[in-house]
Amino acid sequence: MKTIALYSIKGGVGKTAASVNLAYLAASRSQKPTLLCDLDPQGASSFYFRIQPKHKHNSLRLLKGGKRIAKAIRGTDFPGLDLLPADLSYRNLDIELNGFSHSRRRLKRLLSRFDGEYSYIFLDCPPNITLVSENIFEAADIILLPMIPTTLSMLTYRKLFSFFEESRLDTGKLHPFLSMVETRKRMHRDTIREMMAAGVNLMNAFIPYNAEVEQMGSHRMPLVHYRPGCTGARAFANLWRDVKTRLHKETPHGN
Amino acid sequence: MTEHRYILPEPNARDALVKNLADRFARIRETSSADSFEVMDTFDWRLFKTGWLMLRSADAYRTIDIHTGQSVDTQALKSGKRIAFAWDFPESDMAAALGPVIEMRALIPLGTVACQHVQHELLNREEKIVARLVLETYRLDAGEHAVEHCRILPVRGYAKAAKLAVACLQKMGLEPARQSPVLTLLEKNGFSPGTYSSKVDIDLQPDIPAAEAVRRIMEQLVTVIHQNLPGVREDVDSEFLHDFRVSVRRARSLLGQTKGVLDQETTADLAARLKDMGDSTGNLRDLDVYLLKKTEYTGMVADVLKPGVAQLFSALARKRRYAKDRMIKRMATDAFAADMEVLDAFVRSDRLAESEAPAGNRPIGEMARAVIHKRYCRIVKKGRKITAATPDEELHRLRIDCKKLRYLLEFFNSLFPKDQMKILIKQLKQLQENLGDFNDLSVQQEFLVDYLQGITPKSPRKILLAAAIGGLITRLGIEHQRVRSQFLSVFARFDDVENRNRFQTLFA
Repeated sequence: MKTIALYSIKGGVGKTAASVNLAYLAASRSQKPTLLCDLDPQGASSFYFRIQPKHKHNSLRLLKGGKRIAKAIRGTDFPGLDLLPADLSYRNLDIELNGFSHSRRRLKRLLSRFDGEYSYIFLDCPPNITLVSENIFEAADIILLPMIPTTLSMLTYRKLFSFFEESRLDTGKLHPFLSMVETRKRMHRDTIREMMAAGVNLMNAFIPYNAEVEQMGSHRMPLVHYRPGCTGARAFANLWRDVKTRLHKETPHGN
Repeated sequence: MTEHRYILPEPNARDALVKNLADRFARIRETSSADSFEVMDTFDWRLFKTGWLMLRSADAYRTIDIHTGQSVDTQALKSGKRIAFAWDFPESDMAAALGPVIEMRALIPLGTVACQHVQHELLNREEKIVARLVLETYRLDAGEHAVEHCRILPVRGYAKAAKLAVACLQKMGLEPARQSPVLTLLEKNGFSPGTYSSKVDIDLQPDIPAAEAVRRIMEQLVTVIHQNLPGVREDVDSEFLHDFRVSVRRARSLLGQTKGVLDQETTADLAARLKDMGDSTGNLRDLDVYLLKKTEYTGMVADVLKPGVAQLFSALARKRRYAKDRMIKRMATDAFAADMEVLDAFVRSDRLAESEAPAGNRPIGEMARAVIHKRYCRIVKKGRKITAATPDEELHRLRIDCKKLRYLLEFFNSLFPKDQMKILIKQLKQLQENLGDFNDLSVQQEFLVDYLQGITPKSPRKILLAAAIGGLITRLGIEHQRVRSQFLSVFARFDDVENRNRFQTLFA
């Protein structure tokens, strides 16, 4: 089982679009049982799959784990792809996590019960840097960071990198990729050049700024499913290929 | 999450069913698809007896569970090549599971199934799929009866929706499906899965005339011969010929052990024809036996000698091709057709009832007891004389006697208490296994020694072949000794007090 987190300190960078499409690709193209965990209280991933959490489900039940999580999981319309929907109560996850022992590794332990049932677990993470994020950093085998090529993104990436170093987390897990790229914008082109010069571990594939990706909200299903040939969908397919390559390079316990 | 499956009594039930569901869900989205596949099993239904069937589609082989209809294993195909034997599958879980089940038997296509699926996605207000209803129509290419089947597929986390749909079907009085629709389709179109057996299984009453009993046993044997003939002629797998020959041998043994039941002329004529059938197929069967030992033999020798064993087997395969052609030609002759006609005429005749042969009207119960007892006494007498110093030929003769007794026990099984017969056959079987192994090893060694003498060691290739054969002879010799050394204890078990009493009470 491999756990793949999609994380960004900043919101609106195409994190959920990537989670939804990559999880779909893992289940349909790679034909592996896949679970997408929507940890963002906004529930955008859940919305894309038209799934509401069950009435009983909330953040405390999530943290208590065990069968409660298994019961909260719902099947999407696509074979092999299940979703753990988000609930608005997840906004309190941080506070509640404090009440549990091993509070940094709680999520990793909760997810370990799905080893064998799922080959891939995707975590669509809330945009902030809190105890929840630290749980995600511990639980994930690989952390994908969508970055819009702007100076501000570079800054937040550096901050995250130093946070990893200070907290003795494995920086080898961090895999940034470019998102919402507009190659006709000079500033984007310049920033990309800067990033490469600064030796940022960028993935080859990138997601262009694309109206079709934005329209996913009205279709409420993965772009890769309903328009597999479009530019955006092809970009996600390339990204998934790169992610798989990087996953296989990783040693089981990081470097 | 298990799916729920129902049999639809008639296609008309569909519309009512969908209409009922439409009242309970926000919307129903319909899509349809079609596929077709071949259903396969071995001639003797080995997959069916294990609870499976094989489905072959354009791009994959799939074993399914006959009860649930679910896939057990799937093997994708690279080429469209037809696979008949377990060893022809690429190394995989499927190949590993099939091997011990079908062994040397070929998978035979039973028919092509065309399946129409109409999928109804049951949606909630968010237009999310909460359950699926799949209506399926299965048709067999060579059959007029279709099977209408429907499945409710739950979606994880939406158990209520599935329950609602299931309740709807139950309310309509639909019967849950208890087996795969493919199996139902076969049964509806004249197949009787699991029925073939080469064994004699006949219900006799002790007071019927012996001549009639012999005719009825012969009738079963001739049926098995007929059932296997097409497979023998088309050379589908080695077991057709094997079952054919076993039935011929049983028939000869029956005639030989019931002397005086039929008139002499009939017995002699039938026996001669059966002997001819046996003789003309023996050579091919011998080669089949060796060819089936390929893996075993290859494993017996050191790696350096394995190419030599491979040479031996390609030579045997060549010989087999000639032997097969010869046998098939023989089976196409008028003489062979005449032999079969005589057998058919004999088992169909009804004038046996007032037989003029001396023992023709003797009640079969009494007669069976006498012949079994006679054979048993002979075995015990011969067996007790055998010591470590007895020549091999004596053991071979004892083996033939045991085989004759085994056939008698099987022919007349229904005349005696079932539980007792089961024990007797089991005890005898153990003795037969020892003697059978001993004989096989003797024959194999002789064959290899013969083969060795025909080799002129002029090339390194031939020398390797000879060395490999030498290695095999050595290994077989060691095994031969081991089996022989076990004979005394195996025989003592057969000849223990309990078993002796059993024979005395039942047959003396």
